[in-house]
Amino acid sequence: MKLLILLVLFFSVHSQAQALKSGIGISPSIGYTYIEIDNPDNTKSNYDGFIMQFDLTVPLYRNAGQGLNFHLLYKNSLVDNLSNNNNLSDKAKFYGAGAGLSYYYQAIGLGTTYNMMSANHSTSGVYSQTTEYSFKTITCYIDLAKRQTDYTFGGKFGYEFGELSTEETKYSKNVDFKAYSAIIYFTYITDFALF
Amino acid sequence: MKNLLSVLILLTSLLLSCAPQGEGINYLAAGLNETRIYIVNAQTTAPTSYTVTVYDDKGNFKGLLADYTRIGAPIRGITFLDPSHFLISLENIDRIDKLSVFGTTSIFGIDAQFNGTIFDLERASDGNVYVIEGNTIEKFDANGVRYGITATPYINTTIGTCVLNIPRQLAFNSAGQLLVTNTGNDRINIYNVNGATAGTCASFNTAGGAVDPIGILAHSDGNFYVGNSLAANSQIVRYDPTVTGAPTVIFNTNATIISTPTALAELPDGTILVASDGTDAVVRIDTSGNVLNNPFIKSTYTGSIVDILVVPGQ
Repeated sequence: MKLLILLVLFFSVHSQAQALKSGIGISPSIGYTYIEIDNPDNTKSNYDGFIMQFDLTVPLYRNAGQGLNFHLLYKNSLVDNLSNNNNLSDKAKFYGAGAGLSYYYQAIGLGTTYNMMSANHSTSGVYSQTTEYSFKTITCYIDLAKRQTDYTFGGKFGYEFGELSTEETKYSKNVDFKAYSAIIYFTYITDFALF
Repeated sequence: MKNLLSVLILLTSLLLSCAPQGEGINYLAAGLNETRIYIVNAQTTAPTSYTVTVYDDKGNFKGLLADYTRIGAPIRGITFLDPSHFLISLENIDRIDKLSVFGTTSIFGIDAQFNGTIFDLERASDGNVYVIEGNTIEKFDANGVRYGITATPYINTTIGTCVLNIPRQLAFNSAGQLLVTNTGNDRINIYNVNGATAGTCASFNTAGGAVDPIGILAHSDGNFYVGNSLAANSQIVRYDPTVTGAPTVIFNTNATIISTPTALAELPDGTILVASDGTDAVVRIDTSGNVLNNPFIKSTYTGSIVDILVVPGQ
Protein backbone atom coordinates (compact mmCIF):
# COMPACT_ATOMS: atom_id res chain seq x y z
CA MET A 1 0.00 0.00 0.00
CA LYS A 2 2.84 2.37 0.91
CA LEU A 3 4.54 1.57 -2.36
CA LEU A 4 1.33 2.33 -4.28
CA ILE A 5 0.95 5.70 -2.56
CA LEU A 6 4.58 6.40 -3.28
CA LEU A 7 4.23 5.66 -6.97
CA VAL A 8 1.05 7.74 -7.32
CA LEU A 9 2.68 10.70 -5.63
CA PHE A 10 5.86 10.26 -7.60
CA PHE A 11 4.17 10.36 -10.97
CA SER A 12 2.20 13.43 -9.83
CA VAL A 13 5.51 15.16 -9.22
CA HIS A 14 6.99 13.75 -12.39
CA SER A 15 4.79 15.87 -14.66
CA GLN A 16 5.80 19.16 -13.04
CA ALA A 17 9.44 19.43 -14.05
CA GLN A 18 10.61 22.36 -16.11
CA ALA A 19 13.75 23.16 -18.09
CA LEU A 20 16.60 24.43 -15.88
CA LYS A 21 19.11 27.15 -16.52
CA SER A 22 22.63 25.98 -17.24
CA GLY A 23 24.33 27.96 -14.47
CA ILE A 24 26.19 26.62 -11.46
CA GLY A 25 23.89 25.73 -8.60
CA ILE A 26 24.40 26.48 -4.94
CA SER A 27 22.63 24.07 -2.72
CA PRO A 28 22.33 24.03 1.09
CA SER A 29 20.50 21.11 2.64
CA ILE A 30 19.58 19.66 5.98
CA GLY A 31 18.15 16.37 7.13
CA TYR A 32 18.21 13.29 9.28
CA THR A 33 20.88 10.62 9.27
CA TYR A 34 21.21 7.21 10.82
CA ILE A 35 24.70 5.70 11.08
CA GLU A 36 25.79 2.15 11.80
CA ILE A 37 29.38 1.15 12.62
CA ASP A 38 30.42 -2.46 13.13
CA ASN A 39 32.46 -3.42 16.15
CA PRO A 40 35.15 -6.09 15.85
CA ASP A 41 33.03 -8.55 17.85
CA ASN A 42 30.17 -8.19 15.32
CA THR A 43 28.01 -5.99 17.52
CA LYS A 44 27.03 -2.66 16.03
CA SER A 45 27.16 0.91 17.25
CA ASN A 46 24.26 3.01 16.08
CA TYR A 47 23.88 6.77 15.90
CA ASP A 48 21.32 9.23 14.69
CA GLY A 49 21.10 12.97 14.36
CA PHE A 50 21.25 15.86 11.93
CA ILE A 51 23.12 16.10 8.70
CA MET A 52 23.95 19.38 6.97
CA GLN A 53 25.31 19.46 3.45
CA PHE A 54 26.40 22.10 0.99
CA ASP A 55 26.62 21.27 -2.71
CA LEU A 56 28.08 23.12 -5.63
CA THR A 57 26.40 21.79 -8.76
CA VAL A 58 28.00 22.15 -12.18
CA PRO A 59 25.74 21.25 -15.10
CA LEU A 60 27.50 19.08 -17.64
CA TYR A 61 24.51 18.40 -19.88
CA ARG A 62 20.97 19.75 -20.24
CA ASN A 63 18.32 18.63 -22.69
CA ALA A 64 14.51 18.46 -22.60
CA GLY A 65 13.91 17.86 -18.90
CA GLN A 66 16.97 15.78 -18.28
CA GLY A 67 20.50 16.60 -17.29
CA LEU A 68 23.82 15.48 -15.88
CA ASN A 69 25.50 17.37 -13.05
CA PHE A 70 28.90 17.31 -11.42
CA HIS A 71 28.85 17.88 -7.65
CA LEU A 72 31.30 19.13 -5.11
CA LEU A 73 30.03 18.85 -1.60
CA TYR A 74 30.84 19.30 2.06
CA LYS A 75 28.78 17.60 4.71
CA ASN A 76 28.69 17.44 8.46
CA SER A 77 26.67 15.04 10.59
CA LEU A 78 26.16 15.64 14.30
CA VAL A 79 24.93 12.46 15.91
CA ASP A 80 24.45 10.76 19.26
CA ASN A 81 25.21 7.15 20.10
CA LEU A 82 21.87 5.40 20.65
CA SER A 83 23.41 3.40 23.49
CA ASN A 84 24.26 6.49 25.53
CA ASN A 85 23.48 6.10 29.20
CA ASN A 86 24.36 7.65 32.54
CA ASN A 87 27.88 6.23 32.33
CA LEU A 88 28.70 7.07 28.74
CA SER A 89 27.89 9.90 26.42
CA ASP A 90 29.33 9.47 22.95
CA LYS A 91 28.63 12.38 20.63
CA ALA A 92 30.15 12.07 17.21
CA LYS A 93 30.77 14.29 14.23
CA PHE A 94 31.26 12.83 10.76
CA TYR A 95 32.42 15.41 8.28
CA GLY A 96 34.16 15.64 4.96
CA ALA A 97 34.16 16.63 1.33
CA GLY A 98 33.13 14.70 -1.72
CA ALA A 99 32.66 14.81 -5.46
CA GLY A 100 30.35 12.97 -7.77
CA LEU A 101 27.83 12.87 -10.56
CA SER A 102 24.05 12.93 -10.74
CA TYR A 103 21.59 12.38 -13.51
CA TYR A 104 17.98 13.51 -13.48
CA TYR A 105 15.03 12.99 -15.72
CA GLN A 106 12.11 15.26 -14.95
CA ALA A 107 11.50 15.04 -11.20
CA ILE A 108 13.58 12.03 -10.38
CA GLY A 109 17.33 11.86 -10.17
CA LEU A 110 20.05 9.41 -9.24
CA GLY A 111 23.50 10.25 -8.02
CA THR A 112 26.68 8.99 -6.49
CA THR A 113 29.56 10.68 -4.72
CA TYR A 114 32.97 9.68 -3.41
CA ASN A 115 33.71 11.17 -0.01
CA MET A 116 36.81 11.76 2.09
CA MET A 117 35.45 11.63 5.62
CA SER A 118 36.70 12.26 9.12
CA ALA A 119 35.14 11.31 12.41
CA ASN A 120 35.42 12.82 15.84
CA HIS A 121 33.97 11.14 18.92
CA SER A 122 33.69 13.10 22.16
CA THR A 123 33.15 10.69 24.98
CA SER A 124 32.33 11.62 28.53
CA GLY A 125 31.74 9.36 31.47
CA VAL A 126 34.12 6.79 32.89
CA TYR A 127 36.34 7.30 29.87
CA SER A 128 36.48 10.95 28.87
CA GLN A 129 38.38 11.26 25.65
CA THR A 130 38.32 12.45 22.08
CA THR A 131 38.87 9.97 19.28
CA GLU A 132 39.51 10.86 15.66
CA TYR A 133 39.93 8.84 12.49
CA SER A 134 39.54 9.16 8.73
CA PHE A 135 37.93 6.98 6.12
CA LYS A 136 36.49 7.01 2.61
CA THR A 137 32.91 6.37 1.57
CA ILE A 138 30.67 6.15 -1.46
CA THR A 139 27.17 7.59 -1.38
CA CYS A 140 24.35 6.52 -3.67
CA TYR A 141 21.13 8.49 -3.58
CA ILE A 142 17.79 9.01 -5.18
CA ASP A 143 16.62 12.58 -5.69
CA LEU A 144 13.02 13.73 -5.99
CA ALA A 145 12.67 17.40 -6.86
CA LYS A 146 10.55 20.16 -8.25
CA ARG A 147 12.80 21.70 -10.87
CA GLN A 148 12.12 25.27 -11.93
CA THR A 149 14.14 27.49 -14.22
CA ASP A 150 15.96 29.27 -11.42
CA TYR A 151 15.82 26.82 -8.57
CA THR A 152 15.26 23.29 -7.51
CA PHE A 153 13.57 22.16 -4.34
CA GLY A 154 13.62 18.53 -3.38
CA GLY A 155 14.76 15.70 -1.23
CA LYS A 156 17.51 13.13 -1.37
CA PHE A 157 17.54 9.69 0.16
CA GLY A 158 21.01 8.35 0.42
CA TYR A 159 22.90 5.23 1.38
CA GLU A 160 26.55 5.73 2.22
CA PHE A 161 29.02 2.94 2.84
CA GLY A 162 32.69 2.56 3.54
CA GLU A 163 35.24 0.76 5.63
CA LEU A 164 37.19 1.80 8.71
CA SER A 165 40.68 0.44 8.34
CA THR A 166 42.74 -1.20 11.04
CA GLU A 167 45.41 1.48 10.53
CA GLU A 168 42.92 4.11 11.66
CA THR A 169 41.01 2.23 14.33
CA LYS A 170 43.68 -0.16 15.66
CA TYR A 171 40.96 -2.81 15.60
CA SER A 172 41.89 -6.40 14.88
CA LYS A 173 40.10 -6.17 11.51
CA ASN A 174 38.53 -3.68 9.13
CA VAL A 175 34.93 -2.84 9.97
CA ASP A 176 32.00 -1.50 7.95
CA PHE A 177 30.52 1.97 8.10
CA LYS A 178 26.99 2.59 6.82
CA ALA A 179 24.82 5.69 6.86
CA TYR A 180 21.29 6.32 5.72
CA SER A 181 20.08 9.86 5.22
CA ALA A 182 17.01 11.82 4.22
CA ILE A 183 17.64 15.47 3.42
CA ILE A 184 15.72 18.32 1.88
CA TYR A 185 17.58 20.80 -0.26
CA PHE A 186 17.12 24.01 -2.12
CA THR A 187 19.30 24.77 -5.13
CA TYR A 188 19.64 28.28 -6.42
CA ILE A 189 20.82 28.23 -10.01
CA THR A 190 23.09 31.13 -10.85
CA ASP A 191 23.66 32.71 -14.23
CA PHE A 192 27.31 31.67 -14.17
CA ALA A 193 27.89 28.70 -16.45
CA LEU A 194 31.11 26.81 -17.12
CA PHE A 195 29.85 25.06 -20.24
CA MET B 1 4.94 21.34 -4.59
CA LYS B 2 2.35 19.87 -2.26
CA ASN B 3 2.74 16.42 -3.77
CA LEU B 4 6.51 16.64 -3.66
CA LEU B 5 6.42 17.47 0.02
CA SER B 6 4.14 14.51 0.58
CA VAL B 7 6.61 12.20 -1.13
CA LEU B 8 9.51 13.57 0.90
CA ILE B 9 7.62 13.22 4.14
CA LEU B 10 6.58 9.70 3.26
CA LEU B 11 10.08 8.58 2.37
CA THR B 12 11.55 10.19 5.45
CA SER B 13 8.94 8.48 7.60
CA LEU B 14 9.85 5.16 6.03
CA LEU B 15 13.53 5.75 6.78
CA LEU B 16 12.84 6.71 10.38
CA SER B 17 10.52 3.77 10.98
CA CYS B 18 13.00 1.29 9.50
CA ALA B 19 15.98 2.55 11.53
CA PRO B 20 16.93 -0.09 14.12
CA GLN B 21 17.52 0.92 17.71
CA GLY B 22 20.84 1.14 19.51
CA GLU B 23 22.56 -2.17 19.96
CA GLY B 24 26.04 -1.78 21.30
CA ILE B 25 28.66 0.59 22.53
CA ASN B 26 31.19 2.02 20.14
CA TYR B 27 34.62 0.48 20.58
CA LEU B 28 36.41 3.58 19.39
CA ALA B 29 34.45 5.89 21.61
CA ALA B 30 34.97 3.68 24.63
CA GLY B 31 38.66 3.25 23.92
CA LEU B 32 38.24 -0.50 23.50
CA ASN B 33 40.52 -0.38 20.49
CA GLU B 34 43.38 0.44 22.86
CA THR B 35 45.06 -1.67 25.51
CA ARG B 36 43.68 -1.06 28.97
CA ILE B 37 45.11 -1.99 32.36
CA TYR B 38 42.62 -2.63 35.16
CA ILE B 39 43.99 -2.53 38.68
CA VAL B 40 42.13 -3.84 41.70
CA ASN B 41 43.08 -2.59 45.11
CA ALA B 42 41.70 -3.76 48.41
CA GLN B 43 43.26 -1.68 51.14
CA THR B 44 41.62 -2.92 54.31
CA THR B 45 43.52 -0.62 56.69
CA ALA B 46 42.39 2.99 57.07
CA PRO B 47 41.81 4.74 54.81
CA THR B 48 40.13 1.76 53.21
CA SER B 49 39.92 1.66 49.44
CA TYR B 50 38.24 -1.01 47.32
CA THR B 51 38.44 0.08 43.73
CA VAL B 52 38.99 -0.84 40.11
CA THR B 53 40.94 1.81 38.24
CA VAL B 54 41.84 2.02 34.56
CA TYR B 55 45.13 2.95 32.88
CA ASP B 56 46.35 2.97 29.31
CA ASP B 57 49.27 0.89 28.10
CA LYS B 58 51.68 3.68 29.07
CA GLY B 59 50.43 3.64 32.63
CA ASN B 60 48.45 6.87 32.37
CA PHE B 61 45.43 7.06 34.63
CA LYS B 62 42.16 6.94 32.67
CA GLY B 63 39.50 6.72 35.32
CA LEU B 64 37.96 5.17 38.39
CA LEU B 65 35.79 2.36 37.11
CA ALA B 66 34.30 0.94 40.29
CA ASP B 67 34.38 1.87 43.96
CA TYR B 68 33.03 -0.56 46.53
CA THR B 69 34.59 1.29 49.47
CA ARG B 70 31.31 2.80 50.62
CA ILE B 71 29.56 -0.56 50.87
CA GLY B 72 32.59 -2.11 52.56
CA ALA B 73 33.25 -4.84 50.03
CA PRO B 74 36.92 -5.44 49.21
CA ILE B 75 37.36 -6.45 45.57
CA ARG B 76 39.66 -9.46 45.56
CA GLY B 77 39.99 -10.40 41.90
CA ILE B 78 39.09 -9.47 38.35
CA THR B 79 38.78 -11.60 35.23
CA PHE B 80 37.84 -10.99 31.61
CA LEU B 81 34.27 -11.82 30.57
CA ASP B 82 33.90 -10.14 27.18
CA PRO B 83 35.34 -6.98 25.58
CA SER B 84 33.00 -4.75 27.55
CA HIS B 85 32.53 -6.71 30.78
CA PHE B 86 34.55 -8.21 33.61
CA LEU B 87 33.79 -10.33 36.63
CA ILE B 88 34.99 -9.27 40.06
CA SER B 89 35.02 -11.25 43.30
CA LEU B 90 33.80 -9.44 46.41
CA GLU B 91 34.63 -10.16 50.02
CA ASN B 92 32.19 -9.39 52.89
CA ILE B 93 29.16 -9.35 50.60
CA ASP B 94 30.40 -12.68 49.19
CA ARG B 95 29.40 -12.55 45.58
CA ILE B 96 30.64 -12.18 42.03
CA ASP B 97 29.60 -9.05 40.18
CA LYS B 98 29.58 -8.31 36.49
CA LEU B 99 31.27 -4.99 35.83
CA SER B 100 30.97 -3.15 32.53
CA VAL B 101 33.67 -0.95 31.04
CA PHE B 102 31.40 2.00 31.86
CA GLY B 103 31.24 1.12 35.54
CA THR B 104 27.74 -0.35 35.69
CA THR B 105 27.44 -3.46 37.81
CA SER B 106 25.07 -6.37 38.24
CA ILE B 107 25.19 -9.55 40.30
CA PHE B 108 26.65 -12.50 38.39
CA GLY B 109 26.97 -15.19 41.05
CA ILE B 110 25.66 -15.50 44.59
CA ASP B 111 24.89 -18.53 46.72
CA ALA B 112 24.08 -19.24 50.36
CA GLN B 113 27.04 -21.65 50.46
CA PHE B 114 29.39 -19.03 49.03
CA ASN B 115 30.02 -17.30 52.32
CA GLY B 116 33.68 -17.66 53.30
CA THR B 117 36.66 -15.40 52.79
CA ILE B 118 36.73 -14.56 49.08
CA PHE B 119 39.91 -14.06 47.07
CA ASP B 120 40.92 -14.29 43.40
CA LEU B 121 38.73 -15.56 40.56
CA GLU B 122 39.54 -16.76 37.06
CA ARG B 123 37.32 -17.57 34.13
CA ALA B 124 38.17 -20.68 32.12
CA SER B 125 37.91 -20.86 28.34
CA ASP B 126 34.72 -22.94 28.68
CA GLY B 127 33.03 -20.08 30.55
CA ASN B 128 33.19 -21.60 34.02
CA VAL B 129 34.42 -19.33 36.79
CA TYR B 130 36.61 -20.47 39.70
CA VAL B 131 36.85 -18.49 42.93
CA ILE B 132 38.93 -18.89 46.06
CA GLU B 133 36.78 -19.15 49.18
CA GLY B 134 38.71 -19.72 52.40
CA ASN B 135 40.79 -22.86 51.90
CA THR B 136 38.60 -24.11 49.08
CA ILE B 137 37.80 -23.34 45.45
CA GLU B 138 34.22 -22.74 44.32
CA LYS B 139 33.02 -23.09 40.74
CA PHE B 140 30.27 -21.12 38.98
CA ASP B 141 29.01 -21.91 35.51
CA ALA B 142 28.75 -19.39 32.69
CA ASN B 143 25.34 -18.32 33.99
CA GLY B 144 26.62 -17.65 37.48
CA VAL B 145 25.18 -20.81 39.06
CA ARG B 146 27.36 -22.40 41.77
CA TYR B 147 28.51 -25.98 41.35
CA GLY B 148 26.67 -28.40 43.64
CA ILE B 149 23.80 -27.87 46.02
CA THR B 150 25.52 -28.74 49.29
CA ALA B 151 28.16 -26.89 51.27
CA THR B 152 30.85 -29.05 49.66
CA PRO B 153 32.94 -26.85 47.37
CA TYR B 154 34.13 -27.82 43.91
CA ILE B 155 37.68 -28.24 45.27
CA ASN B 156 37.88 -28.95 48.96
CA THR B 157 40.82 -28.16 51.22
CA THR B 158 42.41 -31.54 50.74
CA ILE B 159 41.99 -33.40 47.46
CA GLY B 160 44.45 -36.27 47.05
CA THR B 161 47.91 -34.90 47.74
CA CYS B 162 46.90 -31.27 47.04
CA VAL B 163 46.26 -29.18 50.12
CA LEU B 164 44.93 -25.63 50.01
CA ASN B 165 46.41 -23.46 52.74
CA ILE B 166 45.75 -19.74 52.42
CA PRO B 167 45.29 -19.86 48.63
CA ARG B 168 45.60 -16.49 46.98
CA GLN B 169 45.64 -16.52 43.20
CA LEU B 170 44.58 -18.65 40.25
CA ALA B 171 45.76 -19.28 36.70
CA PHE B 172 45.19 -21.80 33.92
CA ASN B 173 47.78 -23.71 31.94
CA SER B 174 47.46 -24.60 28.26
CA ALA B 175 45.86 -27.96 29.19
CA GLY B 176 43.06 -26.16 31.05
CA GLN B 177 44.34 -27.21 34.48
CA LEU B 178 43.87 -24.82 37.36
CA LEU B 179 46.97 -23.56 39.20
CA VAL B 180 46.63 -22.19 42.71
CA THR B 181 49.26 -20.37 44.77
CA ASN B 182 49.22 -21.00 48.51
CA THR B 183 51.04 -18.78 50.98
CA GLY B 184 50.27 -21.04 53.97
CA ASN B 185 52.15 -24.08 52.68
CA ASP B 186 54.24 -22.44 49.92
CA ARG B 187 52.72 -24.71 47.29
CA ILE B 188 51.53 -24.30 43.78
CA ASN B 189 48.73 -26.82 43.35
CA ILE B 190 47.56 -28.05 39.95
CA TYR B 191 44.03 -29.40 39.56
CA ASN B 192 42.12 -31.10 36.77
CA VAL B 193 38.90 -29.15 36.39
CA ASN B 194 37.65 -30.37 33.03
CA GLY B 195 35.22 -32.99 34.26
CA ALA B 196 31.62 -32.59 35.35
CA THR B 197 32.45 -33.80 38.84
CA ALA B 198 34.62 -32.14 41.48
CA GLY B 199 38.16 -31.13 40.62
CA THR B 200 40.97 -33.59 41.17
CA CYS B 201 44.59 -33.11 42.17
CA ALA B 202 47.09 -33.40 39.34
CA SER B 203 50.25 -32.37 41.16
CA PHE B 204 51.81 -29.74 43.36
CA ASN B 205 55.15 -28.00 43.56
CA THR B 206 57.00 -26.93 46.69
CA ALA B 207 60.39 -26.52 45.05
CA GLY B 208 60.27 -22.74 45.40
CA GLY B 209 60.90 -23.02 49.15
CA ALA B 210 59.28 -21.05 51.96
CA VAL B 211 58.54 -17.97 49.91
CA ASP B 212 54.79 -17.23 50.24
CA PRO B 213 53.83 -17.29 46.55
CA ILE B 214 50.88 -15.04 45.71
CA GLY B 215 50.78 -13.61 42.20
CA ILE B 216 50.88 -16.06 39.31
CA LEU B 217 50.96 -15.26 35.61
CA ALA B 218 50.45 -17.65 32.69
CA HIS B 219 52.72 -15.89 30.23
CA SER B 220 52.37 -16.10 26.44
CA ASP B 221 55.89 -17.60 26.32
CA GLY B 222 54.39 -20.71 27.97
CA ASN B 223 56.11 -20.22 31.30
CA PHE B 224 54.58 -19.26 34.62
CA TYR B 225 55.85 -16.26 36.53
CA VAL B 226 55.22 -16.13 40.25
CA GLY B 227 55.67 -13.41 42.81
CA ASN B 228 57.15 -14.66 46.07
CA SER B 229 55.84 -12.26 48.64
CA LEU B 230 58.00 -13.00 51.65
CA ALA B 231 58.81 -9.49 52.84
CA ALA B 232 62.45 -10.25 53.54
CA ASN B 233 62.93 -12.08 50.26
CA SER B 234 60.62 -10.72 47.59
CA GLN B 235 61.33 -12.40 44.28
CA ILE B 236 59.89 -12.92 40.84
CA VAL B 237 60.51 -16.45 39.65
CA ARG B 238 59.84 -18.40 36.48
CA TYR B 239 58.50 -21.95 36.31
CA ASP B 240 58.56 -24.02 33.16
CA PRO B 241 55.21 -24.76 31.43
CA THR B 242 54.72 -27.95 33.48
CA VAL B 243 55.53 -26.18 36.78
CA THR B 244 57.86 -28.98 37.76
CA GLY B 245 61.17 -28.62 39.54
CA ALA B 246 62.73 -25.55 41.04
CA PRO B 247 61.97 -22.17 39.50
CA THR B 248 64.47 -19.72 38.04
CA VAL B 249 64.78 -16.51 39.99
CA ILE B 250 64.57 -13.63 37.50
CA PHE B 251 64.29 -10.78 40.01
CA ASN B 252 65.98 -11.18 43.35
CA THR B 253 65.45 -9.23 46.49
CA ASN B 254 65.55 -5.45 46.14
CA ALA B 255 62.82 -4.04 48.34
CA THR B 256 63.29 -0.51 47.07
CA ILE B 257 61.96 -1.66 43.69
CA ILE B 258 59.73 -4.69 44.33
CA SER B 259 58.59 -5.41 47.84
CA THR B 260 55.96 -8.08 48.49
CA PRO B 261 54.72 -8.67 44.95
CA THR B 262 51.03 -9.45 45.07
CA ALA B 263 49.92 -9.58 41.44
CA LEU B 264 51.40 -10.00 37.98
CA ALA B 265 50.06 -9.32 34.48
CA GLU B 266 51.43 -9.40 30.94
CA LEU B 267 51.35 -6.45 28.56
CA PRO B 268 50.87 -7.12 24.82
CA ASP B 269 54.63 -6.68 24.27
CA GLY B 270 55.36 -9.54 26.64
CA THR B 271 56.70 -7.41 29.46
CA ILE B 272 55.39 -8.04 32.95
CA LEU B 273 53.62 -5.74 35.37
CA VAL B 274 54.31 -6.47 39.02
CA ALA B 275 52.25 -5.03 41.87
CA SER B 276 54.71 -4.09 44.60
CA ASP B 277 52.71 -3.90 47.80
CA GLY B 278 55.59 -2.56 49.87
CA THR B 279 56.07 0.45 47.60
CA ASP B 280 52.39 0.84 46.61
CA ALA B 281 53.35 0.86 42.94
CA VAL B 282 53.31 -1.18 39.76
CA VAL B 283 56.73 -1.98 38.30
CA ARG B 284 57.34 -3.11 34.71
CA ILE B 285 60.00 -5.75 34.11
CA ASP B 286 60.97 -7.97 31.19
CA THR B 287 60.97 -11.77 31.27
CA SER B 288 64.62 -11.74 32.34
CA GLY B 289 63.80 -9.65 35.37
CA ASN B 290 65.29 -6.40 34.11
CA VAL B 291 63.42 -3.41 35.51
CA LEU B 292 62.00 -1.30 32.68
CA ASN B 293 59.85 1.22 34.55
CA ASN B 294 59.88 1.91 38.28
CA PRO B 295 57.25 2.91 38.95
CA PHE B 296 55.19 2.16 35.90
CA ILE B 297 52.06 3.17 37.77
CA LYS B 298 51.79 4.83 41.14
CA SER B 299 48.60 6.55 42.19
CA THR B 300 46.15 6.97 45.00
CA TYR B 301 44.72 3.62 43.99
CA THR B 302 47.87 1.49 43.91
CA GLY B 303 48.05 0.65 47.61
CA SER B 304 47.33 -3.00 48.45
CA ILE B 305 46.84 -4.17 44.88
CA VAL B 306 45.34 -7.65 44.75
CA ASP B 307 44.93 -8.19 41.01
CA ILE B 308 45.83 -6.70 37.63
CA LEU B 309 44.06 -7.40 34.34
CA VAL B 310 45.45 -6.32 30.98
CA VAL B 311 42.92 -6.20 28.15
CA PRO B 312 44.57 -5.77 24.74
CA GLY B 313 42.86 -3.56 22.16
CA GLN B 314 40.09 -5.34 20.29
